[in-house]
Amino acid sequence: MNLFLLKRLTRRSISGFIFSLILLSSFKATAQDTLRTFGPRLGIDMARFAYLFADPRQKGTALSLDFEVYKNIYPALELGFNSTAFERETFSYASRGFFGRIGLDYNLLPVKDRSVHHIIYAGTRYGTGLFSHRAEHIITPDNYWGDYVRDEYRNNLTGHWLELNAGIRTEVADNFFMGWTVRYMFLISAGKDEIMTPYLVPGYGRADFNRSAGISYWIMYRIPLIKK
Amino acid sequence: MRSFTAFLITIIALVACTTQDVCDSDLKASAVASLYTTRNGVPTDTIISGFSLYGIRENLPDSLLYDSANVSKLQLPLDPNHNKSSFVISIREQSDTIHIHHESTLYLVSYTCGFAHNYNIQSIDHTGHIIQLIEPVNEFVLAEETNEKEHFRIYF
Repeated sequence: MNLFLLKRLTRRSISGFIFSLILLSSFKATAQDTLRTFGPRLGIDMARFAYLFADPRQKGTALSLDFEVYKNIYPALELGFNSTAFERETFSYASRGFFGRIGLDYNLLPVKDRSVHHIIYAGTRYGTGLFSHRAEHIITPDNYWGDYVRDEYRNNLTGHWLELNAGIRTEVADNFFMGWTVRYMFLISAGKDEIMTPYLVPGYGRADFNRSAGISYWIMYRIPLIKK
Repeated sequence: MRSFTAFLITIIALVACTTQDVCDSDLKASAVASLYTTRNGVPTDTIISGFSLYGIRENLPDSLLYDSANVSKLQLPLDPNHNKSSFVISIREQSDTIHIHHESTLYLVSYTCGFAHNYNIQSIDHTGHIIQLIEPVNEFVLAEETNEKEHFRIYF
């Protein structure tokens, strides 16, 4: 092989190498565009904090966890707590407990680009609330026989309900999401207490309504575990 | 951020719009007794004149519920602090004592009205100077029922 040929081959190899690099990098860029990030998404319900301004008696919040396990399908778990306390003329009342919701969300927004993670979804949940409630300083006024006074009544209860959910999640920065959920709930049971029907089922709301609506405002972070 | 502020205001407005109810129910459970006399073996409801009645109360002075009244029905408030409510009936110069033995159940009527008692009458006994017989009609005395419901009959 003479020197001229070697120079020609070397020049061609370098050109080829550069061309390959450009081609590869362009392929890589295209591949990155279509990558989708998967991972558990953790959230906190900020709507609960609005109650602190409007109804300071009610306290609570909820945390959420969801994961896109299959295209457009997000199993979801929400855990939270709720408490309330108030005074009446003839008794004082307090209730506190935890709740959990488990279900599925389905993304209705067509995914044009796999790197886009916004969703508009509809979903269902089964919810349960474990709570205790108590009344203290109970008085039944009786001006003939004398007032009846009881120091305390308390009971532990479990409530159950089903939900239809709808909402949005918008990726406002890489892996950070904001969005809201509206929920329509069907009470199965508020917990059986023949002496004192509960005022509130944690996670559901007022126990004297068989149907209830709720809203959550989520701030979420997805842990970017997988890109594929 | 703007949307969150709007959301916050909406929630506050919705929650702040709830109103507090007012309780207008009288939740004292009273046993209702109808008064009967027997003429020629046939009981007939009757109006008795000069009828007085008071409850026997612990550590409290006697207080008349009926004072020389003309009555055909009695409303007897039951004692929520004991399992027995005792009353003294007087018609003119004669008197009898009635003991109503009952169980009571405390329950929450509503978060507006508070608690009340329902009663289950176990038995009724009496002295027999003017009362011939007491006949039970309905053992349950409920706080939220009307005073039209009859719980027992007193025969003179």
